[in-house]
Amino acid sequence: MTPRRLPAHLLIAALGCVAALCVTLSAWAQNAPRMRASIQPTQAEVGEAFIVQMTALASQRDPPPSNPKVKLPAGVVLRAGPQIGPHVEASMPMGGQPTIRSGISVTWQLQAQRPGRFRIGPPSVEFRGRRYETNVVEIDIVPKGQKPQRGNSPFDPFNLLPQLPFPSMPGFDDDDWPFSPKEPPRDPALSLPAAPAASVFLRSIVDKTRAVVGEQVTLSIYQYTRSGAPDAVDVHEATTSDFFQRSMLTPGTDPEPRSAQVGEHTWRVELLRRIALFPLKTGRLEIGPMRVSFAGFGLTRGRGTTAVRESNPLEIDVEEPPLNGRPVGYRGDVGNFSLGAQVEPRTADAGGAVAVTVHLTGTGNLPQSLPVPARTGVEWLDPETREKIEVRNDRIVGTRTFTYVVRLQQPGEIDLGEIVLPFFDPENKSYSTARTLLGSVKVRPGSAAPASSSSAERDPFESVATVRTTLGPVPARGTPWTDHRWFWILIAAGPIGVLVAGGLSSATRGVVSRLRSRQDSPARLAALAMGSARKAAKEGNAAETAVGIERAVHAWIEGHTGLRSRGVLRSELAGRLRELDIDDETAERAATVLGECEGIRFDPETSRERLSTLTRTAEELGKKLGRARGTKGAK
Amino acid sequence: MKRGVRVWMLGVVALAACASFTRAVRAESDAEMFARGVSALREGAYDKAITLFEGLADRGFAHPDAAYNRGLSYLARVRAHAEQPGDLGRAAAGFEETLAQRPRDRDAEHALEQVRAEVARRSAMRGGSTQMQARPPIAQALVGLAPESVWAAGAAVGSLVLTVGLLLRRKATPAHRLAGLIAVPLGAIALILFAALAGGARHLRHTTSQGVVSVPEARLLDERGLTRNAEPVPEAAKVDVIERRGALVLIRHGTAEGWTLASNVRLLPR
Repeated sequence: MTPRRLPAHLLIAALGCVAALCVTLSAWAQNAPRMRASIQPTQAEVGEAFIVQMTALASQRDPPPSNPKVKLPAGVVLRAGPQIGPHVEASMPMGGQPTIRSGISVTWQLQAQRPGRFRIGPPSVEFRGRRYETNVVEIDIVPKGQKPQRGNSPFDPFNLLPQLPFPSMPGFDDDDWPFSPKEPPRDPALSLPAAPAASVFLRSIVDKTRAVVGEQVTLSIYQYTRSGAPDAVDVHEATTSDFFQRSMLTPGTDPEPRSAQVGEHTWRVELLRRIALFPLKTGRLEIGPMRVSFAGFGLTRGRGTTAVRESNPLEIDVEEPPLNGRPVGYRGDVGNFSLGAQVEPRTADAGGAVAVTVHLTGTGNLPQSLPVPARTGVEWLDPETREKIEVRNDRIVGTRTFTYVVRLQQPGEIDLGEIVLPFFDPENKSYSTARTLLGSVKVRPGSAAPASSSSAERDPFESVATVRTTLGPVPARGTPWTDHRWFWILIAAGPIGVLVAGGLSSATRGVVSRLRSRQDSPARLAALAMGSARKAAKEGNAAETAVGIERAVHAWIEGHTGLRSRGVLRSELAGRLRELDIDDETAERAATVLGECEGIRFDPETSRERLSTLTRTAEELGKKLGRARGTKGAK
Repeated sequence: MKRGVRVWMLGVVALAACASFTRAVRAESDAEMFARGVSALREGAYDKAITLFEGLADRGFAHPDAAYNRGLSYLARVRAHAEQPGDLGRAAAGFEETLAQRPRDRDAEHALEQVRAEVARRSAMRGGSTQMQARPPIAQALVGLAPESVWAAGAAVGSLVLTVGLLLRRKATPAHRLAGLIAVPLGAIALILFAALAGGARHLRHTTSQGVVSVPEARLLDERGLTRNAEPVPEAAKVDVIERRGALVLIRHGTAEGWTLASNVRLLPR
């Protein structure tokens, strides 16, 4: 069996279709914008930003491509963009006419949220009503901290850039790149666990939080930037009113930026200020915040708005240098100093002058003045001062030169003395003294009168005694009497003691008198008498009973009426009692009882019954007399 | 003796020796500083003399002769026409301190008079007041009429007279009773009066310090630190310091009372 051949007309038709397809495709390709996409870097860490860039060019006669888009895979997010800018390219084919294409350049800033290899895109644009795509780009995302640190540019992994000219993209400057290709060196000391603000923030750091008055405290203020290059449009410096300050940055120079880890991201860190602060007083001194208003990429949402950032305020605890070991004449200078001096000339006329140049060198806040060895006849005028201050190893160091004119009034060999400067060294935490000897100057007697002639002026103190050369005796000072408690007690004790003693004595006498009168009272006598009468009645002793009852009755009568009834006849007794307002019954009974007593006195046969009856009768009489309340005063 | 006890006793002896040596070194050091101050003053190096005598005072060395020389040092600076504001006041403070420790120091009294006269003269040249001594309040003036010991002795005598009078009043004889009748009121009045004065003097001594104004003039302020409409206290004037509150002290100069900066007044040691 022979194979069948395709008919020729079918073959021609197929070829024609292919050709037409090619032509169509060619025409379509010729009408599509020329596009390409790139990514940098090709390796990044989780959370680190990377750039996808696309250019889309068309002929100059065509409208430019527009509406760029990029497809993002899962795990990759858009951080910023698209940033669109014009782009123009020119090409010169061999022997042909130059071709110029224009279009757009688009940049997206992305970041990956997890490690892996990602295919991003394809990016696309709209052109003449149709959407065109370009190539997909790929990137390797590694976990944080695992990206190898390269000093080379991601554009130039083999470090060829220093040798090769790098073709810059027309219409797109390096400064427009939102992220510099050269990563600053990392500084772990600037790391933070979290960012206090988004995109950009300020941070203040001091090298110490405790210092003595006059000791240098170094303040550094950093700007942390996450992305972009925000512009500082308004700056308010940190308030440091309790400090003397000196900038440690050379004007016109920008310190090298660094990078630091803040939370999960790497931030760019720039040193804005480095200031040497010298506390002026003790206490808890405050360093206020620095305030900056920023505007720029990724920071603001619209034109005319700024983001204000403040650095953290700080406090420094400042105290005086220790008292222990403080030298005489210490004025509060803190640092480490040395002195040197020259005196010229070494001879002068009286009334003339010499120049004394003193060099003060050291670390710290150099004193503004020196304690000069003033003495009579030597006049030190205010000095001319020059200084050279610099920063060395984060410390203020320098030299201050004082040039004095010293007038000499008196002739002779004048010893100018020495300049002594005690200071406290905060590094060694001890005091020291810088000194320089000035030596002598020979002063010739001058013909001209001295400038300040003191002899002609009145000395108001010429009569004041001269210096005391020895320490004389000091009068002993005892404690004043009035500081002793016994003094006040004694001056009060005398009069009070006499008064108290007198009072006690009177009181005692009164008590004794009352006691005595109570013992001799009629009521007591009556009670005693009735007691003995009752006892005698029990014993059957009539005589004793009668005696006791008689005594009691007479005592009652005397006690209640005042009548001494013993001197009254029994027959008249009742009448006398009635005269004293005693009722009849009681008066009669009194006389009766007394009569009965008289009767039984001489009757030893009186029965006990009768004695006890008589005793009871007498007791009732006593009660009646007590209730009767006769007129007292009768005799 | 046991070895441990011997070692312990040796240690005690060594410690006592060190302490006495240290004390001796310290005393010598004060005397040396005094001697250096005297040399500086004799040489005319008044700044150095001031530094040394002030240094002695800062170390707590209180002696009438050191205070006198300190006053002289400030006067030396004035006489050398290198006077700093407040030098006369500081000189007066030195002489007052001398008198406080040695009340019958004639030289210090004279020097103090000269200083105050010079201050008054300068004030008069400026058209200001020449009154250096201000009249104290009546109560303080009464208390200040005599030393505290005089009032205390008067109170003791008054107590004795009162006691004797009370005892005499209790006697039987009319003469004794009459004597007692006179002595009791006299003694009571004397006791109350002198005891009150002695108590007042003691109270003043305990509650007030004294100081000397060591600035050209000390302006009187109110509690808030605002200037009051009152005559400023002149330099070298002696004032009573009643209270201290932060950087301000409450002072009394005569009947005028007000706050001023603590740095304006040089306190006299009690």
